[in-house]
Amino acid sequence: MSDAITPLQLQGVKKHFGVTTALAGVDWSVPAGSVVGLLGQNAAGKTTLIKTALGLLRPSRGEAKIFGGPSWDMPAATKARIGYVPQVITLYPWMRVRQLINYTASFYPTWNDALASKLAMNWAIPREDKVGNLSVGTLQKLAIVLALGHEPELLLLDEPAASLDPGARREFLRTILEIAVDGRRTILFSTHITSDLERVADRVAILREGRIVYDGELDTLKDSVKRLHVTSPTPLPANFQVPGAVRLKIEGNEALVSVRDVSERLVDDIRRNYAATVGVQDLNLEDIFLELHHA
Amino acid sequence: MRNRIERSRYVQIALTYTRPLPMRIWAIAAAAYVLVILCLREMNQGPQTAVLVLGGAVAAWFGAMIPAHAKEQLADARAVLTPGFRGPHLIVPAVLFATVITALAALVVARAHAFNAQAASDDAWLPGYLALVLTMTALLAWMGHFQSPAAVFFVMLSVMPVVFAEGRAWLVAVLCGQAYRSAGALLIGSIAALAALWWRMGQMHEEMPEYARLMGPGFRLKVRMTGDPTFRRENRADAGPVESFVRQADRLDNVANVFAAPFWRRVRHWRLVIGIGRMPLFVAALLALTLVIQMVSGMRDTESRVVFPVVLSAIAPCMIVAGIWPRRWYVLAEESLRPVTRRRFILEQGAAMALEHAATWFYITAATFITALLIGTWTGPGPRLLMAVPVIAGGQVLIFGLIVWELRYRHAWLVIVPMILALSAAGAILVIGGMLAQYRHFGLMLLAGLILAAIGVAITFDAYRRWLTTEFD
Amino acid sequence: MRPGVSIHVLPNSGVPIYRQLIDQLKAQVAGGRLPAGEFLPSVRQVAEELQVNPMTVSKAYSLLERDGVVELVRGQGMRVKEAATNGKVRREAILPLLKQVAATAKQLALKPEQVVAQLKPLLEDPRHE
Repeated sequence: MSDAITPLQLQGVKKHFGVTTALAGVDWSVPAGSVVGLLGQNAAGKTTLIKTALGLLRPSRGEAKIFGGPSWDMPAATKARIGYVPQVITLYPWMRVRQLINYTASFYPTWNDALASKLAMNWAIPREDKVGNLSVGTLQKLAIVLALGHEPELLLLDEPAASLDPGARREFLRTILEIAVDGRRTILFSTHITSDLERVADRVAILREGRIVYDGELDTLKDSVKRLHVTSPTPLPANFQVPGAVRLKIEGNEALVSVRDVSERLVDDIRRNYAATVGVQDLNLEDIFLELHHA
Repeated sequence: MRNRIERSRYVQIALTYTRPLPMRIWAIAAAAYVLVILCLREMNQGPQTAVLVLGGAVAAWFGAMIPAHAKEQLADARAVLTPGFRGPHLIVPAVLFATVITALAALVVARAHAFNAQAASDDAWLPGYLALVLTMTALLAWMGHFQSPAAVFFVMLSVMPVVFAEGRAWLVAVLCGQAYRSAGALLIGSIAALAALWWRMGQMHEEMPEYARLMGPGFRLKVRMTGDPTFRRENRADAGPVESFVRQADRLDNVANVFAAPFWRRVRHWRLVIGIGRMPLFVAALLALTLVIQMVSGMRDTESRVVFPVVLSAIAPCMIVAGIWPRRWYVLAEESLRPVTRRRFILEQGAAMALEHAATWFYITAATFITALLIGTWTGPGPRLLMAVPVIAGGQVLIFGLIVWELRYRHAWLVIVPMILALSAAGAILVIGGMLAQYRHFGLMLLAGLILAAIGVAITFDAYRRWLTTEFD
Repeated sequence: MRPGVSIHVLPNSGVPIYRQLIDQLKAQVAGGRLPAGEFLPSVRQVAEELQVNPMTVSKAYSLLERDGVVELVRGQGMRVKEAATNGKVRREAILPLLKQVAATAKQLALKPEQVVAQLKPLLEDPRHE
């Protein structure tokens, strides 16, 4: 049943806060079973997008849907299928860790105690400590444990690894992969750390100024966005143009062009038209992210 | 040239005090108050007391806001790192504070004088009045500075002298200049306390427990900009053993699953976190104890045995809940994602809050009323206390409605506004109840209580409708 | 992971992970380190070992299947095909690298015989086994 329905879907979603526009019309859906990285600069609207998708915020226009129903009015059964780790984590400071886990578990129809205990142990979260005394990193780990305990089918994580040290970050990514491995769960996490994403995500969405400017498979993105080094025997003309260029820099005989959709034909065309040699450089996600934000 | 830059900096800092909405509301209220007392042509004893008390409240309100705003500017890394930042940011509020409070007190006392030429002996005396206002202000400011339930409790304790007949007589003596030594001591003490507060604000750094507890105008903005360290430090301040004991954290060692539980079972479950556990019981016991001391110390007249329990029953419960609930905002987003529909979630929260309020009211009322009745005979305060119950109970419903209606706004002055609202409403209800009580007619009191409750229910229902469309950002 | 198969990926490189997997597996098949009839480690195993998304691994596997390097045996996994180890496949496997060499040689204006002359001793050097 869950496979047939898109876990998360936004249709023409706009969100304004007073005069500022956080989301400027987002049409986007997350296919079931995928691990999606939501990339964006600071203030691109990542958190707003996630909160709107979850129904914590109400779209000014358009509609946000979770498992086919409106996010704003989710039935209890739908809420039991989603997990969420917010960017700013505030839990009850006066509870002990195990008390908070008990408390959280008490709301869900299913709770995988073994999984929660295993994760808490792997991450060395002290069960008897007061939540308020935990360090930022430990608190973040605890929030992840709490969001995973009921084995949600859709997991939304807002900058989940931001406060984790490299070891914990690896462990976190490993956990995400373990959860993702059976392909039944859909995971969306926002980040501006591209290296986290390259390992675990199979899809990327790039949010820029409240719009999704790229949405697709990470591999496709890496395959299609390339940097071309064009070297011509004669100075390149001032009107040197390449179709699909996101960034173009000409210096005398040489040009550096970043293109969105590279193809053999495109490269051959440049070779032929300018009698140039063309070197094709692979770009990693960080480079691509920067190139796409340069224009 | 340098001089001009310096001056403009002070002006700029002073201007920041005109921005926050509560400050503007205060300005309007203060202007209205000043206008009224300037226009009054005559005044007898009763209104004069009202003018003095109101003037003191207006001054203390201002006095508590000024340090809160200053703290907002100083509890910040930039206050430590920017050269020459702290000085001006401490001087400006100090000057504002001293000027406005002194001017207001002088005006109030001068107006009171104007109407009371015949009996100089029970006339308000400026230093005495100022001493009382500054004491109140210093208490409020320190309470606002630490901003924790424990601080509220402490302040409630320290105003206890009012409960005793001797205490009140002493206050009057201070006010009228008969107890000038006490007035001097209060004056020096409160100024020292305020100086200490200013000194502490000048030292603000992250290690201090109150550092993260902000409630000034930039509160929301700050949360957005800093991500989470602010909350982390605040959380740490709430992780003490007292908090856990008061909240009965041990109840969470074993909790039953409530996913499919019936409505009221789930409401009880929410009270684990919405409630304040043992706090109402403690407060009730403490208030009962205070009453016992008061009566043992000689204040056994029927009037006191009616007035104090009634005032405590009307004010204490709503102040407690209004002081605690705004902090629910920090966890509402996450809690709203628990598997339950939005409608049910809001109903459950509301019902749990209503139960908590009712229980708090019940404990405090029972404790104070029974204490008042136990010492002395039923024929004394009994009938009058009984008569007060409907109005107070109906009033609590009304106040509950106001609080839940107002809580929807997640504004900068999260903690203070609901408390001010609750206090004002409770005060108004006491005045109405006091007026109606003169007729000594239970039916009338019952009717008034029912009307208050009906208004409360209507407001609560409207609040519920509005909460349905509220974002749990 | 099973002895004989060794895969390393650089997630932060510009080459997509699935492509890195394909290139390395093809090379190992072509070089005989993964002989015909051998099974590839399961998708789950590879994903957990390398800490990469399982979808990426299964994508690489299905592309290898499409290219005729491996075949799917129901219930058992991906098996290296007989034909995959023949000379044609091996020659194809080195082609992308040679293309790069050719492009660089052109940029440096090196003549073909100069490149071949330089390559030959490298191929014969026992240290490059």
